[in-house]
Amino acid sequence: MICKDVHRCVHVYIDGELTPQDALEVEGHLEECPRCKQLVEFEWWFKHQIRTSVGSVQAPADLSGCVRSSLARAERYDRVRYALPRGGALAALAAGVVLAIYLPSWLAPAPQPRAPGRAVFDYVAERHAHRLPPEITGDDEARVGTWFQDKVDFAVRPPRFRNEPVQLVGGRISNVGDRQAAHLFYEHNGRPLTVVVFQDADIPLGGTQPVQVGSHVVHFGQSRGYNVAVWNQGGVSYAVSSDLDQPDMFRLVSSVP
Amino acid sequence: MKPSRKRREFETSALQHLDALYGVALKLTRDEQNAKDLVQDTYVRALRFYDRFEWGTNMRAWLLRILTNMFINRYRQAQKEKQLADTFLGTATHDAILSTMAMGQLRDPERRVMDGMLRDALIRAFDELPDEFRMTVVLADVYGFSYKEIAEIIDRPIGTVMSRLHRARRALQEKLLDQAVAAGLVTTGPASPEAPQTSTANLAEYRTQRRRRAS
Repeated sequence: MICKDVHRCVHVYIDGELTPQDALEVEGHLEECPRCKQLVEFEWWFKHQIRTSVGSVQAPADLSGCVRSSLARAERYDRVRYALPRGGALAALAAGVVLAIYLPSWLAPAPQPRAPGRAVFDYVAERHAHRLPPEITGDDEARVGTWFQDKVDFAVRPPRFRNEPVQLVGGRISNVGDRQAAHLFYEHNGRPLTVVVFQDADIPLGGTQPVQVGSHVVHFGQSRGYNVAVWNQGGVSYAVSSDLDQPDMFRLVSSVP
Repeated sequence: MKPSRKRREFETSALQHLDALYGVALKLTRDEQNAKDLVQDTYVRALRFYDRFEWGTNMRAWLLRILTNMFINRYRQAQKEKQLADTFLGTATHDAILSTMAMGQLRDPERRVMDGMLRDALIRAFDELPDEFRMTVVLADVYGFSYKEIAEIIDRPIGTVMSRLHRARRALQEKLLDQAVAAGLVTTGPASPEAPQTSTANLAEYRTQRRRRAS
């Protein structure tokens, strides 16, 4: 081994990641070469400086409690959500039973004071939380859109999320308030994502300030622990709900042409 | 509501790593509130995917993998960050190695140069590293993960881990030396005429040369 080789692998050596054979060769060279020995000692020292300067920290005292409550909350929502079946009449019946059992004990005991007119966010998050079985399945936007043709009185064009790992999996008839709606089922990286399409009207948006996201003007809100983003395109409203965070939601929305 | 058995199990095994998760989150976000949020969201996600955790594998590494993914998705504006990292890689290739004298002066326990100002300079320089580099250095130097574990956490090949560590340490050393020279604590420049210039940690190349020399 020569000096150049030591210089090349000095970090791998001090990190203890060289093979035993390579490490022996380095050490053989270090015995003969004070300059390389000094380099290795310096790198050791520097690694130690990083460790002590950047250092490890202790979590704040309240964080453990916060995490535990977040976990309890998440489990509460997930129990309701994943207890729901994915298809079939029997399953739908079971859903009714599950809801009847779980809803009163978990969702009902925490009545939130509702701001007037949070209707859209509530309806859409509700659709997302309680995924009913799809009436049509498939990832072909045109075919799923056509299925709604004689069922709702507006054109349903399932949005395409360009260059995002989002896939259409199906749809069913739904409602937002007293309006007909198309409930579209998507998956984002294997996690459920809901899009509700309905004809725009005076359904309130909870007084949220609109934000420009890509080419869309978006109202953003939360309900039932899920995020909801709503925008209008050609007189039709699109509402996306998922457990993604706001920046991810906005990225998805901006990917819709 | 009574916690499920799954949640109880999860809390027992996963909350042991709270300090490490918070530490890494704080280094990544550089903000206490954001770090706390990131840690909480990581635990919620980890609980949801707990069924997929393989027993016998490193739970801390698994949690950190979820955390770093969430951080990248949430805080990183992909394009901007990529540019930053590219610039960083571009500037770090000349890869100066400190001279023997500079190394000696920096380390000299009598002169205690690392006690005050330079330590702050090192922390500042660390905070200025691009996210991916900061992440790799924290995992390796603060939490002592192996290259293989880091590669799994950040979902990159081991070669990338090696190269990031190498470049990040060189960049930190350069900044530290600049500060030390500016403050008159070290009396020599960065380039060492006798030191060979290397472009990156490259074991494969070394092994090829060794084979060539042996044959």
